[in-house]
Amino acid sequence: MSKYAMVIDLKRCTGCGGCIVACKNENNLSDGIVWSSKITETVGTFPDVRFAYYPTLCNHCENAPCVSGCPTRALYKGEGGLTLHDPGKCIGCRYCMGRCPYGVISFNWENPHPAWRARTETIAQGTTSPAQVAEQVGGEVIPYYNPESAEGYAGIRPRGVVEKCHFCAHRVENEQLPYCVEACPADARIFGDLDDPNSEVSKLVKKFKSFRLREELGTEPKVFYIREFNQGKNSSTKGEV
Amino acid sequence: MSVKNNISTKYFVWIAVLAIAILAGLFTTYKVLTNGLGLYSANDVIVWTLPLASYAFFSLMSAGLAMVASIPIVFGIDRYLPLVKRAVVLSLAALVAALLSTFLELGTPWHIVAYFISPNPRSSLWWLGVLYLLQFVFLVTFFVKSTNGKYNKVISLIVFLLAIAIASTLGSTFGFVEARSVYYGPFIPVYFLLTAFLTGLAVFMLTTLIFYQITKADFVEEVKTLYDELGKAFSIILGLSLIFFVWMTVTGLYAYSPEYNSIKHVFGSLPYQFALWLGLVVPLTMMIIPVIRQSRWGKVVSTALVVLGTLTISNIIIELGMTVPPGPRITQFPELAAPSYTVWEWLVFVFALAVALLIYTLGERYFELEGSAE
Amino acid sequence: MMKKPENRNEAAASELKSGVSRRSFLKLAGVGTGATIGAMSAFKLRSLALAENPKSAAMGEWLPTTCQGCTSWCSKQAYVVNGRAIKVRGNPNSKVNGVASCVRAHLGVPQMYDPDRVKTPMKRTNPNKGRNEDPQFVPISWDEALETIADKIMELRDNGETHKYMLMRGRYTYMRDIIYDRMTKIIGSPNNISHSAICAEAEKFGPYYTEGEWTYRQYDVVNANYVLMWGADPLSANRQVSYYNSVWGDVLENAKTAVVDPRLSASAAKSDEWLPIKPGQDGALAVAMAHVILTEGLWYKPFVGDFVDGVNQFAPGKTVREEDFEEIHTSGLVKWWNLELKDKTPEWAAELTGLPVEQIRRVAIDYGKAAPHAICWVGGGPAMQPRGAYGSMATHALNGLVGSVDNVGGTLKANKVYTQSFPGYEDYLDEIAKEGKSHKKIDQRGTKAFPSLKKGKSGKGVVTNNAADGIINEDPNEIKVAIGYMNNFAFSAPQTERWYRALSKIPFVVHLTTNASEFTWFADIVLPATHHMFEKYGYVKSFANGYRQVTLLTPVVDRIWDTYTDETEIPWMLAEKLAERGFDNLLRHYQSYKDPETGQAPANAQEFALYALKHATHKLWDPAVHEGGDKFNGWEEFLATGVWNSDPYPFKKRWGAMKTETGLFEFYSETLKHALEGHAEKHETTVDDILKTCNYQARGEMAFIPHYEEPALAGDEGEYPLVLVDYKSKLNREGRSANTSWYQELRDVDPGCEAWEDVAQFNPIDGKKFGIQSGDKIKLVSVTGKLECTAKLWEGVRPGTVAKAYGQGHWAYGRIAAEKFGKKPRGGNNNDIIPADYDRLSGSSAFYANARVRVEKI
Repeated sequence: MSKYAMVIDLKRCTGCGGCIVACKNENNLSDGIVWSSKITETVGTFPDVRFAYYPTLCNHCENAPCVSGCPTRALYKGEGGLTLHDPGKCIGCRYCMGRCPYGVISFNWENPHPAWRARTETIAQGTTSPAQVAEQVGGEVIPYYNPESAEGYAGIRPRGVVEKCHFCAHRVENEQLPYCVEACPADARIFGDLDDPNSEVSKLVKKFKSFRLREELGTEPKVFYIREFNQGKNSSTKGEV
Repeated sequence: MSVKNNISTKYFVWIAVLAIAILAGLFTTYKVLTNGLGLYSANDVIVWTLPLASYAFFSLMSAGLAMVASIPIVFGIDRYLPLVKRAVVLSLAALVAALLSTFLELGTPWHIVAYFISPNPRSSLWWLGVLYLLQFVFLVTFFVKSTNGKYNKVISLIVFLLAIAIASTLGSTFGFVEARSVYYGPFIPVYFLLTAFLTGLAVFMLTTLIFYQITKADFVEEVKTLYDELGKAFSIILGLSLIFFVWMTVTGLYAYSPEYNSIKHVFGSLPYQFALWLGLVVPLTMMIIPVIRQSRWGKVVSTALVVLGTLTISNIIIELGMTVPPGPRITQFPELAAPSYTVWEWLVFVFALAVALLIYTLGERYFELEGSAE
Repeated sequence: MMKKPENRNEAAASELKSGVSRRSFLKLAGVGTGATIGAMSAFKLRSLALAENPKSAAMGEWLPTTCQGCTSWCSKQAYVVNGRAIKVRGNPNSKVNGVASCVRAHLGVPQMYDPDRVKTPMKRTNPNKGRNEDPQFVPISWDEALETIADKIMELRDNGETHKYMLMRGRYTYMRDIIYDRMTKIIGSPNNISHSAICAEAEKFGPYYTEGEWTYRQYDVVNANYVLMWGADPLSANRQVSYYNSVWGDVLENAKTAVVDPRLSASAAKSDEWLPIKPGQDGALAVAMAHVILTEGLWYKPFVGDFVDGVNQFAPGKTVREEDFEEIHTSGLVKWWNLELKDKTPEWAAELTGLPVEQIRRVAIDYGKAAPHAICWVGGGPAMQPRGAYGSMATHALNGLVGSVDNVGGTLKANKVYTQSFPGYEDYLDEIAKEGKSHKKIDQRGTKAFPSLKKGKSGKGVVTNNAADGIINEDPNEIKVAIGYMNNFAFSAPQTERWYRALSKIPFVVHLTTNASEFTWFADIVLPATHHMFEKYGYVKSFANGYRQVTLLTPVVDRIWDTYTDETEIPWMLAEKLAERGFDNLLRHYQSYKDPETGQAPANAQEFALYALKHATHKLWDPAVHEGGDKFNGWEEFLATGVWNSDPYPFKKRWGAMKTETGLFEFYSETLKHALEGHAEKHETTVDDILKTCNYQARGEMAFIPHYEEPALAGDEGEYPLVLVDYKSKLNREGRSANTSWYQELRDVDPGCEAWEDVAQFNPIDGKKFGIQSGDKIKLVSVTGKLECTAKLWEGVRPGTVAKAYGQGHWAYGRIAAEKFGKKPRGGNNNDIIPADYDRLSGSSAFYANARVRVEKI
């Protein structure tokens, strides 16, 4: 049995956003939908200001509220503890979105990739239309359609169903890392099996104090954050009265 | 007091109005099924808007009417038996309206068959589906039997229990959501149960009184007393509802934490103030003043206000849990703005309402719903 | 000592491989649901055949190429599936960036498939030119386009006016000389105008006049103990973003980091110290730091030397005798102290910079204590200002004080590479060309007011933005035929409306471009160019991590549209047309670019492009002429690998052997003295007169040392109370990515920014002062222009400044970049409000510490 988890090393993370766009690229996400996202905060007053960046994604909770609440089991726990989705059963009630504490589920409110279906040309006969580009190069709906993500899940989810991160199950089952993990230039995302005591993730959660988002809800998320985004050392002092 | 022979132009006009609304609704259905739910004002943060509130509204109404229909038989209160037939039809009509609203609220409604082939008993939403199906079957059975003058105690008990289950399970779909502190807890299931009964009573009285008005029926003394009694029961339930609503508000306003405190964003809004004053306080006041309670207009106005109040309150409660976007969604919707519903959403509600009214009208027209004590 | 960027996830990936031998992974979800409902299918049961073929699901292949989204010029691989390039990553064969990729690289994919790419040559049918004149382009054939251009060039030749031809270079590879140099010279014009002066050229001034290297630098950050970044944001922009992002976690383990920047950049967000300096005061901070380093005795003695008796005589206000100090690898330290540093205390600097005294002192001491592994990273910030040459010098000189120059954990130049230039052109110059070439350049470089002292020579550096004035004023002459390739000066150069006027004036303008940009709006002929990352051959050189790489751009997919390559194929095709018209010098020159493998001359444009590349990189791939770095067994292997890596960095090799006048690291720059005197002599005047003309404050010997110059801001403080702080978004692919929806959606990854918005960031104090709230639509007005955008109140901005990223404000380019193509911009272009001012000693345009603005609500 494996228990897949991700460790996010906030010290190494530079807040570049590469994970966000790489995931959009890999999974053919439609306009306005992100599976990998971020929470940013600016705290303090000039010049004592801190800006911090926390990458977020589906936590693949062990006690996933989205799974327990889904009336048709369209959301289910797969092997490795991944929280997966079957668009074939999804009725689009969005109950999972209400139940998810992390805001990581998105809904297809319209036909995906509306911008790529347009047929207007900016310069008549000089440039082309988005739909024409896709047709010209043979991409499904979008010219840079990635067919590998359709191995086991809808390559592009249809209108009327939800969607979310699945830890790139199509890659993991082929012993490749989730794409956001590969794409991170800073090695700030580490993926692996918590059931394997020698895995990097196991070692990291043992070595460093970690936190998970909204742990008090008992969801047992599997995304662990270690260390801190901003270092800022200071000299020791006791202050004064 | 049959109205079979009392066909008037008013009736045709009424049917025509409903037909137009239903046609608009069918067009809306077509639009929604081909374009998707993006036609509504909802988004990934404010996930449910008017269509869901409409569904909750009609669902609670149906449950409450089912209680009105079944209580006289279950508890053996014979003087209320004349109410049963109409209440059953109204309950069915409201249930159909609820299911219709749901259909247009789901992104992929034709996957509903997955309820049967891939059930999830851990989900209160799944249970709701089962309960609606059962309620529909039992209500129809109840109705058929009632038109034959037979009131089956077992069936009405089942209907009664189903009604309680539906109202509180609907509440539990919110009450089991630990992620949103405004939803979580036993409050909404209990409050919905109370609201269901309140709305059921209100709709029943409202409809009957309007029906009497239209058919210019005599408001004989025994009927007057019966309805005054109903009015008293109604006031008690209304009073309880007001207390619940006030405490819900106060506990929210009292809190420091932004999530629990989210009611402060809706507190000053027109819908909230309407719900509190016109939806609860004014009707209650009217109902506890005997002379107003006993008057027909008093009952009509206060029940109408309560019905509107329920729709508004359903809306508010659903919205409350979504005002603090979770996690990364905070950047998508940092400004807390009340959604302004699109015309398609209003049409969904109107469609459901028109269908419900049509069912009731046809029921009133072709079956003797004005029962007598047996 | 150099660490190859480690991929921690290699360990993780191999874990997955070595795990359970056979397992079913994903359960079948529901029976027959997919079929009956007709929707997309669920995850299927899969058994893993591990050892045999773990990548059985791979549908495509990773092919090598290069990304030019910024000037990091990473070696990359593109994943190609069924002839479509769908994603990118770093090239694992690169020792510079490895497999790491910054965020902007991914945007290259939608850029490639941009529906607003020009797909065919076009010609203008509206004879009027102007900002509001729609060119009304119609498609034409390549033949018609090239013949028209050839006719225009022949016309110039026939009238002896070849000097009225101009070539503007924008985004280039090192195939550039084919079109930029050879074609311009053989036609017979002096006017090959590059864009370098609107890049960060002034950065190079400091390194040249101290250590003799007119170059960008690489920084050995993984071995540093202190990294002080001046107006540089390596995690977002500047150079080798991919590499620095990949190692920054390691840097933070070993080093303290500090950022000097009026706004809280991405790098500042992760650093120990943020020094939110007042714009234009970098020089003050630098000289004050030098003062502290010397008074505290923290200079690096093995490099700089010491007092003869070992007693530190540097004290505030105290003059020191030169003979008391014995320098080793440096020159002029005591002179520098006596002329400038002795009175430049932290207290003096605190007032000017707006920084606390304690912070200045602390940073200086911590920096000094980290010597010699202490880096002053000189970014565009202190240099690309009106008096930025000295900002560059002052900040870079600190590296000399701590001995980090050419040292482990320090500031390094680029490693040696063995690429070669293209065959010579002299034999192909006819009399017309020789005459035309001898005219003065249209950008007025080398004139009295534009010394442009690149590499010590008067007028050697381009003054890109001034070409617009040269054209408008016909000084030295008018321009009749202009070709621009992959440039957009009407957007990317300060005070853009001058370019509208200049381009409107030129009777015949050609634009080689992927998209119809602001520059294209004034073009007569548009030639659609191939996309650099996926459709053309070329090479560039880039460096970091102690290595330099030569990385190939390769056509990984077939061209989508009827496009040709800007620097190689199009010049060839034009040369053919010129030959048809009796002028075959250019074609004969290009035919001399023989394939090193076969000795064959190119017969067509495609062969030419390939042979030229093989020629330039010959010593890298041919074992017979190998001189250093990676060795290959031939061209094919090199092409398949995509990148050649140099030998490792030779630390300290240049100590005592620098290309300066003295051969040493010059704190008192004899090299600069020589250059200035040369320029002054050319104009028969004094150095002081030159400095006065060029708007510097230094006089006498001050001119030859790193010193403080007051900022020269444009606009009266009363009328324009805020100083514009321009910066670069980490999503910018130079100015070209705003037409992708990903850019707009992700824009809030830049600290304090918003998605789908172009925000100007104000400190809340200024928000209150000027009655501005977040979300307000506003206008920023300067002495030369205005722009419209959205306001955002954010604490990461110095009060008295307004921070705004460059990159948006396109009114052409495409349907997303512009709100209404040809009419209304999305957001505002900073260059609309930045006046055309220069750091004249380097010829660079001034982007920073230049524009003062006021804000108005719309």
